[in-house]
Amino acid sequence: MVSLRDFSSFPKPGEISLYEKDGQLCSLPAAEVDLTNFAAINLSAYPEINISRELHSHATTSHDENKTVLIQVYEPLIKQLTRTFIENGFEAALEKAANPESETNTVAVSIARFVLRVVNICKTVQYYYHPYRKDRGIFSISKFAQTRDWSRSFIRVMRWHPNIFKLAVAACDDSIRVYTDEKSTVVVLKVWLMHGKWNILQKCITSMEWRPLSHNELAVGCENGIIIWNITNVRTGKPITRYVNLTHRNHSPIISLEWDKAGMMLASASTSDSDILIWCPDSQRNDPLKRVGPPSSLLKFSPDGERLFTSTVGSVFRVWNTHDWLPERWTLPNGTIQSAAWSPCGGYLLFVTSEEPILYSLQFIEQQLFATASLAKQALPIADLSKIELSNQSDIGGQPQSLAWDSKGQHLAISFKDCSSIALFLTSVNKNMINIAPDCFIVGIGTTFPSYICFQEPYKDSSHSVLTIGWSSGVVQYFPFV
Amino acid sequence: MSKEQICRRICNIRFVEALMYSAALQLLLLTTIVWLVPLLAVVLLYGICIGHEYLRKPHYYPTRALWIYYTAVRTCTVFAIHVFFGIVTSWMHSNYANAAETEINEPSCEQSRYCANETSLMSILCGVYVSSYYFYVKGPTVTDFFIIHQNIYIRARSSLVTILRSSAFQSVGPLFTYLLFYVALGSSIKFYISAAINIDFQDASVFNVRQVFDLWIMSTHILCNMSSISALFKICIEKSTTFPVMESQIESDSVPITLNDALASEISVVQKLASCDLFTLASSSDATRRLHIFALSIPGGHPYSWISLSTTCLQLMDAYCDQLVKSIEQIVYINKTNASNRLFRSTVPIGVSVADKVRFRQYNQNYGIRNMSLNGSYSTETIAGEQINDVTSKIKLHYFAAKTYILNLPGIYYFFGETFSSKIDFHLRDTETISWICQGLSFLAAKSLTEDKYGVVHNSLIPTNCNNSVISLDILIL
Repeated sequence: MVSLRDFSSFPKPGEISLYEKDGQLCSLPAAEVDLTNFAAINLSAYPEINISRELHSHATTSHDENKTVLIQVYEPLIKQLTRTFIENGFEAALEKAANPESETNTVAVSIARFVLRVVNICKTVQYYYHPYRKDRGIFSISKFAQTRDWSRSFIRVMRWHPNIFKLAVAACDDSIRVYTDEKSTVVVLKVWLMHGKWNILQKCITSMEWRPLSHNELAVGCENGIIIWNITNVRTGKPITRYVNLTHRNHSPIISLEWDKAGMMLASASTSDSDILIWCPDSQRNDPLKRVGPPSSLLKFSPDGERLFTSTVGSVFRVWNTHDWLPERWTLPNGTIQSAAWSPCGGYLLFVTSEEPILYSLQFIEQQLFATASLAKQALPIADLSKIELSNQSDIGGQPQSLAWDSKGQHLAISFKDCSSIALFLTSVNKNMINIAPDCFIVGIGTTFPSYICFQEPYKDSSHSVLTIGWSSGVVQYFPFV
Repeated sequence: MSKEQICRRICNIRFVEALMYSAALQLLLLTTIVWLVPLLAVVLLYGICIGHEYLRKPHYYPTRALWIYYTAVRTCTVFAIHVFFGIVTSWMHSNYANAAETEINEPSCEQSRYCANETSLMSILCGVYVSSYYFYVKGPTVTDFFIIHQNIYIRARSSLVTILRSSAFQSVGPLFTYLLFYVALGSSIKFYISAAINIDFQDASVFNVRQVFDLWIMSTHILCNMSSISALFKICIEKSTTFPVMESQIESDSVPITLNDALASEISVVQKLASCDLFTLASSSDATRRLHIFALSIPGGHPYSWISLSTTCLQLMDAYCDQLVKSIEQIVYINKTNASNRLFRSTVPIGVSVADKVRFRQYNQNYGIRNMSLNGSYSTETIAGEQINDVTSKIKLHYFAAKTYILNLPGIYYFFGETFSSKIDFHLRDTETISWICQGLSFLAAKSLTEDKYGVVHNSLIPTNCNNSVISLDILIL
């Protein structure tokens, strides 16, 4: 099992990692690098992205922060309760009625307090059996999203198109920017709906996925379900964007979504629903994968489309066979699945948990020739990601945040929850085993840390993979493996 | 046995299987042995009705009047079966309730007449009402296929649990509307029934909580039962089928019809199953079945499998495209007609515009002014000819005016008018089959790059055909 101590070189203070060429990391002092653009060699076609600069005003989706700028006016209790009920639901209205700001009818207050007590007792019982229900809405998203510090991050999600040069970046203002190799054209996707007042439909973006074998369809998972964008005429000037909103009762906010390899099915998971929905977006119908227990938090289709990995907010995770949709159930001793990645052949699944700094591997290749029934299938630890202390700078490693594995199965990137570096491993996968070796660390400028990492699939003539890093400063860095 | 008969047989076997599951379900839904026989008879009738609906080829009816004319008998039969289902279930429930009530007070009944319990009447009417509601809201069949193919038992369990839960909530609405209806008209109904069959009713209150609860249980039972039978039929019918690519010379347990024959079948369910199978085999990582398609026949060395399969698929796609194009042309024609009608309906009165024309012509003739416009058509018509044209246009105008007037009468357009896009909606309602076939062919062509050793696909691929449907849909969207 490799560990972070096995790395031969560690990042030097004040240096920025730019690219890797023939296995050698190229770093430069921060003063010599354009701080707004990390573009290195052969990356002239890549767009310069600095989300913090592009956002004129940083509007977060938290309602409470918006409310601080509003001046409070007097409202009668009935009006207050009605408004609270419409905006925040029954419980908030009940709390308001139980603790009124002005003198009101004491009988009504007593009744409200009694009902509130009953509701609280019921909730206590419910949370005893289903502890995951404590975290709802934005809190549950922050906890299980693949983005570090999701609620305050400039970059919420990034996703490369699997077949062409297109990068979608979701920002904290609930907009999505689509960049192509034509730098002058950036499509901004945002939906406002008029329901009495203007509301953002595409709120709290948690996941995005380009539809395979289609150049212009992007599925977005957000607080109000799934939005499927269709973007046409990008190159001819004025882009035409259309969207479809897929919703299902009790299936929001969407925490994860994935297309199958043919782009016919879209799987979605929500932190408030234990079922996983398999959508046919063209007919806007869905079939549930029903399971009793905690809701799902992460979905990953294997690249060959044979399996679907689903993790829950509890200790259970499943791997579904997509032929008969029967699950293989796995349990963790403690914690939940933090992140996972499939090998290009679909034979191995790497995952990290929320409690241990260990990288595990699960094998799904049929090699039952010498296997016996008494030998239970187990996940093998293959890398120790425990924190190590460096003499000249802050610690490296610790609790992992997310995994990204390139489509050739040669490089694995791991970002951490409390560390500003990204650990890169060299990997090779064959039929019988997976090899992993330490490669290098990537560091950003100053105190910035990686919010989101993903790989660009090799396309056209380019044979190299490009790791794309969304830093907490809003800058997007492209780290090619030349 | 002909191929169509074999296709029909495949469906019938599945119907029988679904009927058996439905019969077993009656035992699960707490039916006693005594009532099992009539209930099974109803389930059988209902099953035949659903099976018939599945086997029926969908037809397009331009107007509601035509739809009523052609489907009235069938719809009435299906409705009658629904009502019968409701009556039998409610009768069974009312007998349970009557058996539970040991003491019967009969103060409101005359000695000479038979005394019936009003609760039974309420139950039966409620059964009729709820089953009619189900018929109106849901109908017996759902044509959309499942997106994922799960094991039949897992699918059934998941569907039944959902149905049981949703029926309990769905029955509340119809129950309360029924109670309102009974409060308003119950006494009249009782009076007419008493007069018709010479019986008296022992009075019962609608506002009895236990009575309402019993009715709710019964409504839930009816909805749950009907939905479950429909779901079981859907599950059995849509069970994924693996059709052989080539005809087997050896007797085997596999399906006795090839993929190609199933695709060409007139029965839409079989055609859908085959197209789904084509898509599955084309997109699967297992190449065994695809190799049969890319293989050459022995003896002969002819790519028979691929040629026949691709020909059938392309024929189906072309036929669909033609229908789509015709529907689009119809819309374009209607648009043009409307536009020309709008020209006729200009703000200037027709009489005034004609008089103006005549005046301008006379003025030009008097002062020798010729029409110098290059694009203008030079007319050699005499005044008499123009007068005839005017008469024709007048007749046309009157015809359109009369037609518009009649269609604007209340209810006429509803029954006799064809909606602007109804035909295209009808064709687009079932695109699953064509999209599966199109995707399947595309995947086969893509996989042939590595798997087709003899180049059979390469030699016969017609690249434009797959694009036809896309082009047609683009025209529609634009």
